[in-house]
Amino acid sequence: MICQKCGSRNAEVHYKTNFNGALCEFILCPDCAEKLEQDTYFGVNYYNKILNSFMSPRSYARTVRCPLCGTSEDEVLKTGKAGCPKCYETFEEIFIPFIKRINGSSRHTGKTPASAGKEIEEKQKLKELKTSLNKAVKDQDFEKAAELRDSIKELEGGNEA
Amino acid sequence: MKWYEIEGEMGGIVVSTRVRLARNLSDYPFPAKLSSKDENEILEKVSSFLTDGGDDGEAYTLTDLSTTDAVTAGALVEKHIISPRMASKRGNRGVVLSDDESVSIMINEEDHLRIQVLGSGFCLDECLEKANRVDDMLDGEFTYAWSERLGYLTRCPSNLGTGLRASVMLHLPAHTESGEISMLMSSLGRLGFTVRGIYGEGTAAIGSYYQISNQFTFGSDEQDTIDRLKKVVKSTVEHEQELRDRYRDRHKNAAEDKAWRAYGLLKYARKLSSAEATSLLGDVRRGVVAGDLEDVSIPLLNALLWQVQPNQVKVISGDYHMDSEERDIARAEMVRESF
Repeated sequence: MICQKCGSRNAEVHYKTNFNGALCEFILCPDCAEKLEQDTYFGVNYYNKILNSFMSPRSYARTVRCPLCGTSEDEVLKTGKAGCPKCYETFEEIFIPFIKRINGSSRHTGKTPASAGKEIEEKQKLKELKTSLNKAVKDQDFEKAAELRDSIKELEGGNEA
Repeated sequence: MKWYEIEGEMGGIVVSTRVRLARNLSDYPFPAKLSSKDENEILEKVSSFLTDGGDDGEAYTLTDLSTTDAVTAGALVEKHIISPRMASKRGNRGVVLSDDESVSIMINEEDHLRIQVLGSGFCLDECLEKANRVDDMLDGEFTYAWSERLGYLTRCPSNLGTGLRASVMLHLPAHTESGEISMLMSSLGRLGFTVRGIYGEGTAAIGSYYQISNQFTFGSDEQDTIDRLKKVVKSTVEHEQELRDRYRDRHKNAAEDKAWRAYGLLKYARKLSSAEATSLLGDVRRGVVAGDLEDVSIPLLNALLWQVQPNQVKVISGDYHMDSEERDIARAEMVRESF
């Protein structure tokens, strides 16, 4: 049997399933099966295909590539996928509006990994110290301001290390 | 003891629960863009960390899928330990499995890590807790790709945020017979859940096994996602029971007859296809829940459900080159011995 997608190689992968009531059937060669990346495991990829149609090209030049993995804008638009974590920064203009449209929100709620958690905590602390420093200066409490300045320096120095 | 040898909560109607977390290491491209050297490096360092003794009390073993034959890999798919993509993909990839087979960590699937926990019956909280434990352990050793705004960064934007996919496998024959399954599918679809037949095709899935899972990983936290799924599953199970009771009130003899006939076939047949066996196991299961068949245990039915699948039959009988007729004979023999 010949692969339904490329029409040239031998088909070796046969998959049948129903997704929200509709029958989906593929007879594919291993190459196309991989390309299609049908995550039938949790049935999310049919859904992804629909999601991809929500993605729209943005204003910047088509030659933009991710500095870490080399993925191009065209590739992101075509596959709807990121090549590496950095892609989410590089192609922010594509991903963020898309994520917002699909989820109605563009901010993560949930678990924070330990390393990132520490960073966020420090950032928050720094913000609080700076607010207190401004207040101390305004109140002309220079002794307290000096103490706060030392703490800020220490925290910032720690971040650089 | 393997996880499926235990009878879980609501075990008659809820076959199993699964939770998976998608995770990636920072500083590496996602697997689709990894060089062979980096693939190897990730496979090596994650698997050795886990097998050399993580601190979660589990003993882990690595199966290197780049050197595993298609039958063994197919059998792991049928057991829900790896994804079909993982079995067909090439390159340096592997799965680390706990002794009781409840925890599996796929390395270099679509994401660097897919932490998966399986449990018997309805056990979303327990599975999430276990997955979190493994996640925290790996988080202590490796740095994850994560951003404050987008959460855990994944290859596919549909997994961003929590990276959590929770799914519950249900046996819903009364929904199927009454035609209410399509209503369930469309209404749960609108609520952000996916309903999918596990075996077979069309709405009349073989044996009426369905999987309900969350669609979204963004905008609500892990516990919230699980709690919403819990509510949906509970009400589906209650409705399934109501439909079964209603049918039984009118057709008690027919219901009993169907269960006993299925039992008879499984116990005495000399040839069984995987579709027939799957379907008969479903009829017996329904009979056990109704109290018609008292001697059959739910864990046995759970184990047989995947043991009758094609690759499993080959692995269990030790003959990787059987044709389909030989397989049907071996399958019938294995099922006969189990009953």
